[in-house]
Amino acid sequence: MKSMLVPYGFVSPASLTILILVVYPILYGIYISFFDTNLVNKWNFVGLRYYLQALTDASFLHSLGKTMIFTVSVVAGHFFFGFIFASVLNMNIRFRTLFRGILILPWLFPDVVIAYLFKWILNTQGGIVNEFLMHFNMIAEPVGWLSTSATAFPCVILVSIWKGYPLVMVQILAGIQTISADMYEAAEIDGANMWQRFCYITIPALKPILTTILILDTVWVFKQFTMIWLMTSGGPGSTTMVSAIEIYKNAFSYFKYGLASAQSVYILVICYLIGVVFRRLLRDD
Amino acid sequence: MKKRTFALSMAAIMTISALSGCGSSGGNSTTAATTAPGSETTAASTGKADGSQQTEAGNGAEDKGYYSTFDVAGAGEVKLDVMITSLGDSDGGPYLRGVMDQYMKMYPNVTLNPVECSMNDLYTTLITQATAGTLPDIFTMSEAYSANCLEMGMMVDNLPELLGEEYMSGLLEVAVENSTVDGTFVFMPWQNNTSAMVYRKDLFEEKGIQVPANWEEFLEAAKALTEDTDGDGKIDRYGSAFAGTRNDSAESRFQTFALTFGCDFITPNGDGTFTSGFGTDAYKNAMKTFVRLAVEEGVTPPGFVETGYSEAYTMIAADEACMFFSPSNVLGGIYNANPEMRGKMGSFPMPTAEGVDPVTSFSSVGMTISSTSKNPEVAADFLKYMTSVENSVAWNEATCRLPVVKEALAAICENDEVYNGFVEASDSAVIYPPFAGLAELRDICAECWQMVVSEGVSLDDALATAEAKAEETAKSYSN
Repeated sequence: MKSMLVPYGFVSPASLTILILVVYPILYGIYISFFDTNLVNKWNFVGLRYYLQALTDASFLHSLGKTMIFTVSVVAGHFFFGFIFASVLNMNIRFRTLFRGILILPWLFPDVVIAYLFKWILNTQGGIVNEFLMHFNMIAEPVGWLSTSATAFPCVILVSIWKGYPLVMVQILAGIQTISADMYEAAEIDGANMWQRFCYITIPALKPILTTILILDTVWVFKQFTMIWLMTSGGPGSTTMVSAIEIYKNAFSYFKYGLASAQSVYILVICYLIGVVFRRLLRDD
Repeated sequence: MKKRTFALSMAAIMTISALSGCGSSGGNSTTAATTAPGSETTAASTGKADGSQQTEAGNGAEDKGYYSTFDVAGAGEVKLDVMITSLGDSDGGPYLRGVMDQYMKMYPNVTLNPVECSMNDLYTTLITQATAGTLPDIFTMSEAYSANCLEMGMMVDNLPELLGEEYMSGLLEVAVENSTVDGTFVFMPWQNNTSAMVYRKDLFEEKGIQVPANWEEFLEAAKALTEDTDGDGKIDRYGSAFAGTRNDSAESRFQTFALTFGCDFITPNGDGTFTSGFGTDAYKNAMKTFVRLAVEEGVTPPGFVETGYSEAYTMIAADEACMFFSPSNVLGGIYNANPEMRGKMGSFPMPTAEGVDPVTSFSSVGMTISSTSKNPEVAADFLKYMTSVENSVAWNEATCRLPVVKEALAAICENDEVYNGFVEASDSAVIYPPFAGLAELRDICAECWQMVVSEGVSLDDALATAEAKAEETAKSYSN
């Protein structure tokens, strides 16, 4: 009997930790979504009202649309630059170690630092981008990069790409280095060009890694909050109002915890579905 | 909206000031207040015994310059967590910590633990703490959240008794009313956030510009001040700065701006329902004029949507803008950024739209005592010490914030004419009705002007969207 309990003793610390730090908050969040509550002493059961409200809420649906565009753009950017830089770093070039260090730098900085850095770089008054462009007479007057709807969202996307590509780059680089050089050599002998080698050797060999990074990166970007909040707070207007900011405002500016929780549950489901769909699409047959 | 004027309060303040002689010097004010025989009931006055809590120790504390009604020295070992948002400020933080140190020196049995929290994070933090049952003994509160604070039972229910009748009577009546929700005194007001226009008085005098009484005159003044000072062909000094960021700081300023057009954001109907003012001509005129002044007339620096409170005062400090409407603390920001601006600044009451009587908003940030505090009497005693006349005057010197303690306010305003505009504005200051959805309404305003300025949406369309959203919000908070 005693020996039967031993395994449970070993797994219980990890299980308890997961239960307390992961399962409980999720279940509590779902629980809150059924109540009109102030989280302290008001708990009015409202059933599915907030779920229905979220589905018909133009602001939430708009924010979901923005989130989709943001996610697709940023993840695509991460993979594009990640692949390019990983390929370059895989070559036998001079100062490769130095370039590795430089290229990974954006990932090492906290989101807050990056956000404020670019907020000042792009600032209308005295921002270095405006000063530079005006100095060379490329623009006549300062541009509100983060305060104009035409430029704010692209700027936030570009900064997010810049911040996140090193993770993809490092993973891809690690994957590329595990591919045997013999395979490339054999392909070259068979007359395969660079593009063919990339499509028929590199990509298939990296598929397991790519699947994992794609799922993780997509979910991370989908939930992005800090960078956008600090750079634009969802503005101007609602140009950069992604779901995470919409939910945050509902919860902590308007104190609508029930509605915010219901919206969060939708995001949870979407993120889960992203994982499922990607795994099915990219599974290795 | 219920209008409350300061006229009687200010008259009383001046009378007290004259009687006690405390107005001649901030530094002498406490002495005068604490020694003047039979002085008027003020926060710092010696006062009569306040019920059974009056003790020998309390009387002893009176000599230390504040109105004490509790035997703090005899309370045993006491530890209080004090979460005041100003603790993190570069100007107010060190001063507040100094006050806490002085109090602990006075009462070695008391330990005050400063807990930093920014104003932006305050309500999120409080909710988390209230949910977990870990509220600090003393925490910052404002009218924006007081209804929620009351609903959640965060604060003690006998705050007036803890502070004492005589202390309470030394506070501005409008501030007490502003801190009261449904008949319950939720928080002790501390900062007097009456809004007025701060301006470059030296430039007005130099150019012979009259203080504007309405927004059209304001625009003329702003145009006269907008100029290329170094002759390089580019404008480098603008007439005014307007806050256009999408946060409460800018949004609450617009609410004051709308008031000057006769617009109330929300009106309680008396039956638990509310009516939004966003569909009124007054609101539409306010928004149109706001956008015109802030963007279209060329009298404000570029980047209106990115200009928040700190950017605005930095522009004034850097001689890039000349006017900005705000509570008095903006002067502290300007002076800190550029000490040479001392003596160059002035203030005047908010201009209004044609046909609208002078009006401005009163709001206050203060502190309350947690319902879970084990030593609410000591907490109240510290708050009274912190807001004594002497400390209030010193606080003003450090931050340029005006207090709500009448006697301290009188002493400050008599000594520095930069506050004249705030005093004059006080005569027509009003408070907003308690409405839990105020943050949403304000946010709708910011979204409206940003849609117009940044997204190119027509003003009429943006106003229609704002009106619909405001109606929905008013409805959602109606019983």
